[in-house]
Amino acid sequence: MRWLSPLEPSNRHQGVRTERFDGIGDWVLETKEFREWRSGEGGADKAVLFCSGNPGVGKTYLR
Amino acid sequence: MIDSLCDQAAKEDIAVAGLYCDFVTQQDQTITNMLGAILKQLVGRGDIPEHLRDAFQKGKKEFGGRGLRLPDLMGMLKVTIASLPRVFICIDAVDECLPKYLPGLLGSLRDILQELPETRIFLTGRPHVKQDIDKYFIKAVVIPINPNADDIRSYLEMRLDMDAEPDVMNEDLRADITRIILERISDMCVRAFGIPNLSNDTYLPMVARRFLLVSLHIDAILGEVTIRQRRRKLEEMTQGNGLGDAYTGTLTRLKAQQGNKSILGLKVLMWVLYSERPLRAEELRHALGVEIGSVDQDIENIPTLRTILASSLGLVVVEASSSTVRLVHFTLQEHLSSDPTLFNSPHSAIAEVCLTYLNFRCVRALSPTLRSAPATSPLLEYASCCWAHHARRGMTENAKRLALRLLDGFEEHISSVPNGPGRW
Repeated sequence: MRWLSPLEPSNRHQGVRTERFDGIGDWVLETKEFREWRSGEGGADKAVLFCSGNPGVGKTYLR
Repeated sequence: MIDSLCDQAAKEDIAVAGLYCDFVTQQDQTITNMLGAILKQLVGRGDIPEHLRDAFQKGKKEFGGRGLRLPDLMGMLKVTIASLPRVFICIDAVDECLPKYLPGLLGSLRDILQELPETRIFLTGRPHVKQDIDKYFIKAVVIPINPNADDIRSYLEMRLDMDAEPDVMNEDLRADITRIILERISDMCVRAFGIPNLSNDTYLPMVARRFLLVSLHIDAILGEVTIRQRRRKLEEMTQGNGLGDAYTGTLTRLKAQQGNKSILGLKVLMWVLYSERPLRAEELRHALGVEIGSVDQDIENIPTLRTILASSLGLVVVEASSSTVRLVHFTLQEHLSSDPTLFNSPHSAIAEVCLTYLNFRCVRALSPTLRSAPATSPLLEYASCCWAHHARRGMTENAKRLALRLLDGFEEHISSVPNGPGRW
């Protein structure tokens, strides 16, 4: 498996997970944009979702 | 995000792969490594599929274990995605991906979508990266993330619940902490508008760093050992001293670090605070690697960016858009400048580093006819332009000696040329 890539995103993911606080940013999951993207209703037109925000606002920590 | 998808993955048949772009390790984040990491997670769920096993065996023979090529990897990735019911790919902080790899990464994702339109892609990044995303995905849906008062309130509640000393807390204090910090945070943002000479560029990330400020505040309060002292700390905050205390506490921890970490941490702050302009990460690394008076550059003495950031305990950050190293918040500048005992003649120390650098054998060997600074000497431009400025503000015998050595045979030196480093 290491042949595929030396990167181990799961390590970072564990770190983020322990520092994250439940409930923060959950509103994103309730937005119409997110739900359409998630359900795949929009087809290829709605395939890419981009959460934009300045450093430190907690993008990484969205659950 | 990844977790909420994974929770559902158990119920529905979907596969999720996530990737964090990271400024600190971005050199390793080549396109093949990033896409390989995604593939690894997608196949990691079950047995290694046959087509991958074949490719691996073939690759071992053909490229002599040289590693994967992008077209082969893309082929494998597409076959894997097509074999799975629905695939979600989440990539965090696309703006921290090295600019030279970003088009390749986005292009590869577009490629996947064109063939496999059922795939869902989730990206995060700072607003400016939207321009790059638009070039590849015309119809990307954007959700702007701004922490609102509710988010900050939940964050505070969470921190208070995790208080290591729950006995040193009562209902009143808890309610006051939440109320006052929330008021104070919005007040701080409003006041920042009134500060002159603050460009939008400096201001905007500041607002966005509210979470970080809240975190410093709450650290300072919960660090006290009695209810009375915690309340006092909270009151100081309303008088505008709260953040200063948080900085003082962090500085104390910085200085108490083991061995040379404390020295490195202080040097980092000194350079960031007293340099003539914001330094790029490479410039700072090379500056910190200079031992004053040494005759040549020692590559093995250059600290890594990770070590630099770690030794400064979060007080400095790298702005990914410009790759420059800055203080975490502009109020830290005032705080550090107000303590004249923190650094012992910083300008002469910087001047001595610049002059030592310009006297390095490898720098002296550079031809004065070069049109641009070689990548191997990232500090050349700064040292050439700024040594005199720093020397004027703080001259020592040692700096004088180094300057005389530089000026001896100066016409042969790369920094002497009219359109040389000083004018690049």
